[in-house]
Amino acid sequence: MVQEERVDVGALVAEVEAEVARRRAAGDYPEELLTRLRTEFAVEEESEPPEALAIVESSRPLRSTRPVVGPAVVFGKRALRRLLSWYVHPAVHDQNRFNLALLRELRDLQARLERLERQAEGDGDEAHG
Amino acid sequence: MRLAFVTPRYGPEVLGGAETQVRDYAERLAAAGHEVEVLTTCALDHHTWLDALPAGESRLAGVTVRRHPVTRPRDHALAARQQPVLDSGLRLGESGERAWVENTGLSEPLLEAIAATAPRVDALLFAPYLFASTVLGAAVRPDRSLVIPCLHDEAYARFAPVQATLRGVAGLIFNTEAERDLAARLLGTLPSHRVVGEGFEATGAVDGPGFRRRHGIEGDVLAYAGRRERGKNYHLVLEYLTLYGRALSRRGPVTLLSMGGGPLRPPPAARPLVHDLGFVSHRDMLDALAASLASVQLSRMESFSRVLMEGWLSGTPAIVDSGCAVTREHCAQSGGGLWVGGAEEFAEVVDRLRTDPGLRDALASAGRRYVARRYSWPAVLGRLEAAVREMAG
Repeated sequence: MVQEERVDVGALVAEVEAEVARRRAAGDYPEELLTRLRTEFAVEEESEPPEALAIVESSRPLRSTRPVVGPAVVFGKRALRRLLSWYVHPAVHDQNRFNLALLRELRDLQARLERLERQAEGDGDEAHG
Repeated sequence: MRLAFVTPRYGPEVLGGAETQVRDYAERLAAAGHEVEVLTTCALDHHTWLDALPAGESRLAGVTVRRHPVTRPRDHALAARQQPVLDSGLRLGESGERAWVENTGLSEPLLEAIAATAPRVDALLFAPYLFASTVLGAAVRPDRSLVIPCLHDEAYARFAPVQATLRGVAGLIFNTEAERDLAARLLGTLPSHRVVGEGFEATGAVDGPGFRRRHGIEGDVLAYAGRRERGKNYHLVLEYLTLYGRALSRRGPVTLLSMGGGPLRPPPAARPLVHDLGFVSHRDMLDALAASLASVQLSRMESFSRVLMEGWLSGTPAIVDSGCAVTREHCAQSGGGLWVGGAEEFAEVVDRLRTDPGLRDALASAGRRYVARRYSWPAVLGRLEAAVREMAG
């Protein structure tokens, strides 16, 4: 049977909020457990891995949107890039080595952390069992 | 009327709220006797913008579709540089914002087609707001252009080129009053505008018990349907579910029926509480909603929220985030759902729904009546036709 009665949802939400405030004030919530769960709670996102961004490119396609003089501007940029390459390339090379070294360390740390989490989870199960 | 919709991707294989809305509008208007065409690109994927379908003309459910190739290939390096800046809450600057827009499937032939089409139609309708086809396309003939923005409160909505386009067109068509209010806050003065919304049909019989049997589901369940990503606050659904199940519930945990795709996976603590259904048919989604205590939609990035309506049509109340003006407005106006501002409120609401079937039925019935009253197709088409006539006339 379809119920035609309408709930005052605003009043109900206010009642819920008041009940939550009352329980919080009365210390009803397991704050320690909630804090631990919230801290532990992390969502894994399959975003672009940092490896994809680790290599810095020192040369990008050269373009100019200026009419007529565009080719000359591109030629000038290309010449400038070649003139500065003795300075730019070693700096970019060093940055890439640093990025990759940092990533290797991060991945090692991640593997250690996952190992420890699995271990802790196993210990917890044994304790409860 | 002669109408042309302009949208970056079009077809039954394109998922997404705005894309579905454009297809629904186009097909319903065509069925109502209007002459409707769609101008779009050949792309289907809004990450790659690769041409996946042939260019040219075709017919799809009574609608003439004209596809044009994407001529500005996606610059992934540019996207990789710009996204962290936006994610950090920083601005790209006007030239950066323009480059961002041009990196979303720009098709010069589509812009030429818009210019050629404008004189022979009563209105050009663009949706959604943030892609090149709308930002640059609606600027071709702003006097003939109406935009259905499907606006969210996000960084892209503050882009200068986006705002310039939205301020300059003949009219804006919003999905809800809350979306209109957001646009007014972002744009200052609005051009002509109307609130129309999306249309729905009665779902017919839904089979919650059958769904439970087919999928071996026992006990109380909640449902989430949509993109499983941070932008939709799916991580918050998982967090509330976990805190409820492990610390806050007075009646034990509940299981989440999770439907859709996306990059977010439940963390270990939440995994036992999630029944991952992945992509399901529309019928299965309605049955899953019918099998659930409530549909949980904590996203703040909504201009309408179809899943809320589908939940109500399936006889299921809604739980939404108190910080989302759109979904909260739907719940307040319908009396079909409750909004929560944290895990403790979520727990209190779920506990009440579990113990009070009368409350569940009353909320769901109110929601169903709201959809039937405001978002039946005849009501929506009437508002849409009037909006186009008045603003493009």
